[in-house]
Amino acid sequence: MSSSSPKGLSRIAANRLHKELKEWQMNPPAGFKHKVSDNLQRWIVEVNGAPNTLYENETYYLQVDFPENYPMEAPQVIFTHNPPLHPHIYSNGHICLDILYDSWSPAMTVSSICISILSMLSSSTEKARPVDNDRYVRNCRNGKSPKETRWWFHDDKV
Amino acid sequence: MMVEEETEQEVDAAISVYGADCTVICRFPPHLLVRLQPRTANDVSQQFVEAVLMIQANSKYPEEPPMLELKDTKGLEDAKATRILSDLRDLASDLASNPMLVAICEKALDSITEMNQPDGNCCFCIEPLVMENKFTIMKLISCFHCFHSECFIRWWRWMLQGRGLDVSDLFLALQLEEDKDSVASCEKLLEQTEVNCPVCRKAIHPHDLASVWGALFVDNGQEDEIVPDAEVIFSKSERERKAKFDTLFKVQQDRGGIVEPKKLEVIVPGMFVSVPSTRATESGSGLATASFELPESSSLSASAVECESSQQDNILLSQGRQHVLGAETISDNGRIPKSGGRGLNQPRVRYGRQVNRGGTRRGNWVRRDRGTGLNE
Repeated sequence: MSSSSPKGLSRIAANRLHKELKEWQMNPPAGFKHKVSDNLQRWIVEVNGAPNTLYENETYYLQVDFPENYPMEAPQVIFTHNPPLHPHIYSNGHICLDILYDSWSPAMTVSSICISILSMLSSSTEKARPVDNDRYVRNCRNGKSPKETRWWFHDDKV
Repeated sequence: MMVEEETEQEVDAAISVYGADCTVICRFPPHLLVRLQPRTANDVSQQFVEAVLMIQANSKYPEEPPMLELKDTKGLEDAKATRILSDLRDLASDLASNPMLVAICEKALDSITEMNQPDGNCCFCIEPLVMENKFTIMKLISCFHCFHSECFIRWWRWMLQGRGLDVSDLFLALQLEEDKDSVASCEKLLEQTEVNCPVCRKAIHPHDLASVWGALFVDNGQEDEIVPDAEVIFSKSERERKAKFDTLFKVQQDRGGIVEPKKLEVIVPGMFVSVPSTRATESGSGLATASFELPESSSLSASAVECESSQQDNILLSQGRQHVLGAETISDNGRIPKSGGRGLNQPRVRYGRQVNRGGTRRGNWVRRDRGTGLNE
């Protein structure tokens, strides 16, 4: 827990994350690895593309940042380094997935988020950036968080 | 014929024992639905499991035991339901050739009472749901999802704040109406904010909240945020004090002596801005100087605040109605978002729409225009 920062985790958030991490270590979601670090507030998660999908044998990294009021508030989840080519993943790593924003519920966990993201990857039929990628990424140049974007969720399939 | 008569008597007995919980689909051969609720002396809030037992016999009853099924189970793990059912089937074959309808129902009620515990963990804190007393755990009536009352309340307050509603103000409003009926109060509250179960997103029923109603407004002392202590806030002396300052505030307002921070204003030196205690070191020295006198010549307009930083002493705020702005509500361009709430908890500014029901959805983005009309 980064106690020096004024926006550190609340006691409740830290307790909950300890629990989640413990549960993760005992029962990690298939295809994911938590990179060990002493920072509870930022998790780096390795994602391995599922077999028999477009992303088979590919490795990506998710960065999960928890707000002070987690789990009331959703964590910020983005891909770092080279984000996968996917119609709902922007080249700056932002992911258009409703449960990360409007549809977040405190009953969700990092593990359930990871499973949703992997299922989103697995159901993709083409490796392509979103059509509005350039416009969006330009708009986010100043390190804007995807949580500040007003997302429009329309696609139930991919 | 004798058998049929005896069997019909059995059905009548079941009807008289279970009353409205017993639905007779057919008297002979007997086909019944019996609603199973744990025996908790009708305290619905303490029932964490529920099921409907279907008993369907054929014309060879009671030589041949009836078919038994559990339907509409709530709060009951599959393994537990299977166990209840196999026990009941054993009992039915033991009792073959004897009247058994009521005996089966009684056994089922015993089992379900025995298993009347919330299953698993609280979804908020991932800690096990262990009953310490009647109030530690609450259940949503429509879906039977259970939570620690404390966790649920914290979340509910958060939801209310996110929608710009202040719990203390709401409570005062409801109290003034002398509304003693908590269910009616919950209904009123739910009219203003739709809240769904965090697990299954089913709409929350007023009766669900009635069991935690009292607790909603009490400070549990564990929040990191500033939560006003309900006992202090609702005490007689505090209400009198608030009323007194409200009157004074109104007088000052009428005389034009009050300059209220408007939503598009910039914070200027000397302006009274309360900062959460954790960030007190960052706050300016002007904080402590909120003066309480009424200036003779003052008729400052709101726009003056933006440019006249030197006239800081003219900015007055009634202590009863401080416009407290949490530091986190000031957006990065230095402007203050709409300051709607008046309580100690400045509502968090949230832009989200109503939660989507059903599965996850993905798509494109549209630009979020923060604070529409900020820069015309």
